Amino acid sequence: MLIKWRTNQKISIILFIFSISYLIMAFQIPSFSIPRPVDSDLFPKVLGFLMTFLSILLFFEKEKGEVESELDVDKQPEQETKNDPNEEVSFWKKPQTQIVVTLLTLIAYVALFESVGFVLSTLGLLFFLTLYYGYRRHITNAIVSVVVSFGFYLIMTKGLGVYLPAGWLPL
Amino acid sequence: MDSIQNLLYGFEVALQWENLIFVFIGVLAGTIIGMLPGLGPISALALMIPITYGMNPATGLILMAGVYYGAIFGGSTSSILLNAPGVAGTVATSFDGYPLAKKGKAGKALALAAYASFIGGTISVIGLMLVAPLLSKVAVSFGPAEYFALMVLGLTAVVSLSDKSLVKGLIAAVFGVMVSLVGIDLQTGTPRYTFGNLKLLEGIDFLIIALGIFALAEVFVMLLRGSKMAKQNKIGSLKLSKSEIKEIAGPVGRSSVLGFFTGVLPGAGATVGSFLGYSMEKRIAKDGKTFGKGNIKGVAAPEAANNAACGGSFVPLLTLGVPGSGTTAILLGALLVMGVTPGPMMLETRPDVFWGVIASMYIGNIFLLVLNLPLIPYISKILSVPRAMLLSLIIVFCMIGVYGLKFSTFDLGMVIAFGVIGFLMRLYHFPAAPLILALILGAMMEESMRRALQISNGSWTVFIDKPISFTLLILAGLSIFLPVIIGLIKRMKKTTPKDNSANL
Repeated sequence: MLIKWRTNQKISIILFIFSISYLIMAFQIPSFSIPRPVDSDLFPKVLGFLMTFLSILLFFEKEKGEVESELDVDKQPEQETKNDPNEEVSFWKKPQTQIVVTLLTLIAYVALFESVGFVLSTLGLLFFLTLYYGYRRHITNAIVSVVVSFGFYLIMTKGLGVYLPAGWLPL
Repeated sequence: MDSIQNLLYGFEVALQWENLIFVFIGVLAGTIIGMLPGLGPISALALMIPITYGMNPATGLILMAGVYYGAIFGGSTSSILLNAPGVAGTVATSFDGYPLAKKGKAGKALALAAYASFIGGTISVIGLMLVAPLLSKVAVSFGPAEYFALMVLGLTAVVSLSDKSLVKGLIAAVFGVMVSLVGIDLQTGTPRYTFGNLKLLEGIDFLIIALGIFALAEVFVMLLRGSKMAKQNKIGSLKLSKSEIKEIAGPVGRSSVLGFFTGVLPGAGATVGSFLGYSMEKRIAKDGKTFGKGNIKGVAAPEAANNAACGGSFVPLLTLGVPGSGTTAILLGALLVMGVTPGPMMLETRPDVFWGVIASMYIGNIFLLVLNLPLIPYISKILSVPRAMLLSLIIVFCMIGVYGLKFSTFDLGMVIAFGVIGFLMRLYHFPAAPLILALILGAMMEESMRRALQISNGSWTVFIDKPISFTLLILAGLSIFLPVIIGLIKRMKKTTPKDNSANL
């Protein structure tokens, strides 16, 4: 109970800092040369103050019981797999690791998108993630990845007349 | 009658080959995406928006509407077969649908759901056809002050009806408005919160946020939940007996009407409608005690109600141009991209869109019935698509959809960032629907507030002087404070008989 309550407080502190910096920027919004009843800065200022107030409220808010049970549901499958004697969860297969790896893969995808090209980077992304999430039929995986990435490329470039970076492929 | 003539015109639009094909694609895609556990109508709509780029608005909205009610239809399938609702609106269906499936009567439950959804959907289209023109006549007199008040009410209603914490709902809503302000202020030309980045001048496109928060974040949540999939029950016979049809006729009729009006109200949609329908029937029924153990009325009522609510939610969207839920907010966003601004004038300026969509809903509901009755055993095979491939395909669709927007890798980075924000929100129980609604409404709210104040020469009483805007603002206040007050009273009642240890 106590630990969950701290989570709310931590979030509220982050939100408080966020809303103060938001407010500081709101006060730096230049005013329009012709006086108006409502200038560009009013709405942001109201929002900034509202968010500050809400973050303070959140600091004092207690977690509800239902929220806890929902969190437990989230964690349940993980515990189940841990208890399973036949299957030891390796570091790479932990849900948390999977999320981080997915994020890093996506960042790499974005970084390489223009230089490597749409088809190759998308193909790689699809094949790698499917493989990483535990799909073991490599040939099916390869076929799906190739069909999806080439398919989208053809639909977008030939069908809709849209430019997609070709990258390393001589398309 | 006028509406019959208009409806005939609508059918003229809806029966064009192109539109027929797209309503079919819409309901099929909606059914399939809605069926996947974790993905609901919002994710389905967000994933389908990129397809509507460059489409004629009537066709685009016909497609998107099909995706919406198709997703609600499809959600019932996974509720019944897996006890894993793909959509919040079909959670109530799983209460009796899954027990029926465990008894080997999954086919019966699916057929019930299909018939009830069909009737609910059809009744709501009739309601939409009758109510929408009336409401739009009232709405023509709305000035900026009324619109501002209406949008405030829409937001507060969604916040107060999200089952999570009120404060967190409000935080999500305020954050949504904050995001909507990024970019050039259209009235003064002043850049706000762009950090000197040229790519932020036009603001952050809502599709980036919708796909990030609803689709990409959903992938992260699914990863966190682990790989265990529920066992799928055998489907069995789809037939209903005459006595069963008789038994569900009443619940379906009542829940359809109830669902429709729930959908019209701001904030309440398919989810609230289905729960209301379920609990109403449970109370009315003589065999109310068997609800939750596989009562067929417990499947029929929420299914009729959620589909009817889906139709009802189009009333405020089409006539006022103000969405009452996160899902219709995405629809509005899609419409704005296609260059159509819904509102009271749309009936006159774009009758093809308005009546075409309504007529297409009749057709779409028939498609859904055909899709869901004989074909359901085959379509439900999609549930056995390997999860690994499904997750990576959703990720790729998000990326392609966002890149197709402006062909900028900056947007790709943004969608990842919003995916993380959405994931954190889910993890710490911040509701996402208020955010997306606020995002769409934020800029509109600011604009109508400024216009109202310009008309009144800066006098703030304009929002209180006008009876409609005053009433709407009072309702907005009540929707936020009433649950708080009731909660306080309940807590006081609970704590007074006990000692004060809870306060320490």
